[in-house]
Amino acid sequence: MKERFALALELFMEQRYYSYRSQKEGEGISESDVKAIRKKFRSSLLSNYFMYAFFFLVLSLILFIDNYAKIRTEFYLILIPLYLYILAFSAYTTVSFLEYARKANSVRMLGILPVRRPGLLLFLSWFVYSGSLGIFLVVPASFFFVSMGGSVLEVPVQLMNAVTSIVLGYSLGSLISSTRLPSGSVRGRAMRNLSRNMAIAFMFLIFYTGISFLPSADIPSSLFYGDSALLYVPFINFPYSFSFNTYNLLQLWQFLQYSLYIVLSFLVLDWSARRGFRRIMDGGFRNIGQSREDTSAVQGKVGRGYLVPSLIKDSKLIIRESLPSLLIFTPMFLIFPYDVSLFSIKFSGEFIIPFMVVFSAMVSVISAACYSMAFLSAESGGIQYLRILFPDQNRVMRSKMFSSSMIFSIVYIPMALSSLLLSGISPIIWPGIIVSSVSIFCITFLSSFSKLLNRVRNVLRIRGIPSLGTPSVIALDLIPGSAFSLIITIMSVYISLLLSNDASLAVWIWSIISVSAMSAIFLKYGILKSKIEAIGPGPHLKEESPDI
Amino acid sequence: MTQNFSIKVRDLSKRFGKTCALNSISANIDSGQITALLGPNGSGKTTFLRIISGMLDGYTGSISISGYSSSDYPSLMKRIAGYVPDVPALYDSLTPMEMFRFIGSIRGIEEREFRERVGNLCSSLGIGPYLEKFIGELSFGTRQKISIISALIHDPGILIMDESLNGLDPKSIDVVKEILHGMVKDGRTVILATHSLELAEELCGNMLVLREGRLAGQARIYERHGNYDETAMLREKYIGMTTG
Repeated sequence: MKERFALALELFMEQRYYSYRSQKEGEGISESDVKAIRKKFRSSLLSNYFMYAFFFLVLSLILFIDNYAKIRTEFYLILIPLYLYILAFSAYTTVSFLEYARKANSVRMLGILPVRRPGLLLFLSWFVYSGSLGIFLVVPASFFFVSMGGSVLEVPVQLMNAVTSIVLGYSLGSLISSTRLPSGSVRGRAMRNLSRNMAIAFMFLIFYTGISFLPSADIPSSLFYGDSALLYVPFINFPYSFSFNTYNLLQLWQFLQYSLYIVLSFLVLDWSARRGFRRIMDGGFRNIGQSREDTSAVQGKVGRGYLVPSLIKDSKLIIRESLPSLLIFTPMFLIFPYDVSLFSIKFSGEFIIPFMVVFSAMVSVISAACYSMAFLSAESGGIQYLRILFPDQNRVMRSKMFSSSMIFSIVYIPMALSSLLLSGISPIIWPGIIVSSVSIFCITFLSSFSKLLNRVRNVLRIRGIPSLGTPSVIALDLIPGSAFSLIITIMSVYISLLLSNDASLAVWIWSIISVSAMSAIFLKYGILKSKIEAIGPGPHLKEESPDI
Repeated sequence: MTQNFSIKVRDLSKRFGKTCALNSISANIDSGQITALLGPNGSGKTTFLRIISGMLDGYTGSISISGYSSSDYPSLMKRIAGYVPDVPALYDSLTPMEMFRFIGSIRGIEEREFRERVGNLCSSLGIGPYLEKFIGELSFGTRQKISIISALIHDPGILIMDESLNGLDPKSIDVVKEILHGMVKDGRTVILATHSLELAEELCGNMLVLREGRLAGQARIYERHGNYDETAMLREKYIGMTTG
């Protein structure tokens, strides 16, 4: 067991080494630096871990304080969203971890070493450095609950639930990551891959939120929290009230369901971990398409310019990779819960417009940060073609911004329209909100992407998001653009509130400021330069001015 | 009129952090020749090739192509050169055809020309059966062939190959050799980094030898008929340059 644990730690360290080598700081490190590098990895891993732990502790406390009034009677209402958050965090970090392991071949040695259940060893490696962070979301709330007179026995039960959520998050991530591109013709494969990922996520959510749908008068049920085995926990009063002597069949049934749920979760982990490991070992692609002995497949049209061909290429890359294909739906993940709450609770009053402005900006900023990582990591081995085919970095930025803003608009606009419709805001100001949101997206994307691109400027291959740096390093790159976008949004709202009582003024001021800021950023990155032709076809030198 | 694709490098240096990868290299690479780039592992060959292909910046010194300075015409090399790396780095989740089309679009190649050129290259390198498979599922050798075709799509004036024949089957190596001979016959320039002295002796007219980031020597390879003794002479010359 001790050896397995040591090997699990080594696996993560190995992966960190690969990602470090693929960054600017890792260039030219010599073998003699190995000791120093290992020390650096260890400290970077620890600092990263503590940063997340601290962030989760604060989040847990905020949620606790926010729900202070409910705490005695509805403790679980605070914990259920936290469990969902743990599930999402675990699934995301798992996909990132496994995809990197596959692309960097960093766990190949597990295929050679006589290790039993290598899939679970990978889980252990991930759990030590990433997964266990989820516990920090539950611990403070549980302890505060106890300090306020709650049963101390709630703490281990809630910790068990947190671990179950982590386990299920890993299983979900592992299944998404092991979904391979299916066989068949090239056309339609991307959509099938995408819909398969979504179906897995959906089925999992059903499993997670409701292993049982037995109605019970004692159990509150709402649109938000579903009717789940997890919800039974506070009512079981485990282990005091539950007693076989009372012959309370409902409680017995609930306890059995809960136990079954835990056992099933760990069985799912074992199965999905094996699946995830197999996917890493076999490289991930399956034979597809018909073999042709002739070259009649040289068909299709060659596009013109570089914006549309780049958009087509980027869309294919993004949609065919597990993690980027999840990240492009960030606007949907952010807006959907808000839409649900709008559906059930009608907001009203003068603050709805300023609130929508800030909310839309937040969605754009977070989406832009996720898109910049997705668009760069999807380049993988093709990153060198960005350098070979584009005369300068400005043109790379322009093509990426074009592709990302197009995809963002397709995902975001329908969701934004649904929110605006449900919130009852006048349609006159809808275009203002949408244009400003897209502008904010472009500002944040350009800033974030240029900084991330600079981090990998000399590498030959990007092996997933970890190649861009540790989460804390990536965050440092993403903060300036995000902060700038949020500042101009808050400034717009503030100015409008100073000038008038008319809340819709905030939208127009926001539109003017965000579009102006976007134009300034476009100028900075040379996005508006009129010369947008491709690199040019021929090898032949002209007599004069051979540059394009 | 045959065009001149000669390359002049002066005082080229490049550092990665504390490590000096290239140290003040000056060399002439002639047009209409295949130039072998030789040197032990870690001698700076890949860095040298990535700089002259325009992929790597942050260097000091100057590079000029046919007398045009790369600092005055920064995209010139990208336009006229094709680069094949040692390990094929491609878009794993695109098919070869999708990738060729993307490169063809960016390079602005005419439809008819594209079909003819890609068709011929795919046919001669035996890529036809793989055109509709994901690159990520293909073998190393097949990926290397895709990498070579990607570099040749725009009919480059300069071809830079970084140990790119590794992993190819003998028939494909012959096809590539034929392509290289055809290029130099047209007065184009080929730079071939390799560890195989036999290959250098067989194909190349010149050789540049790097050692620990410095130019250890530059020489002509006079005989090119591939018998053992001549290769042995080249080996001696190479060992003399890299161990002296």
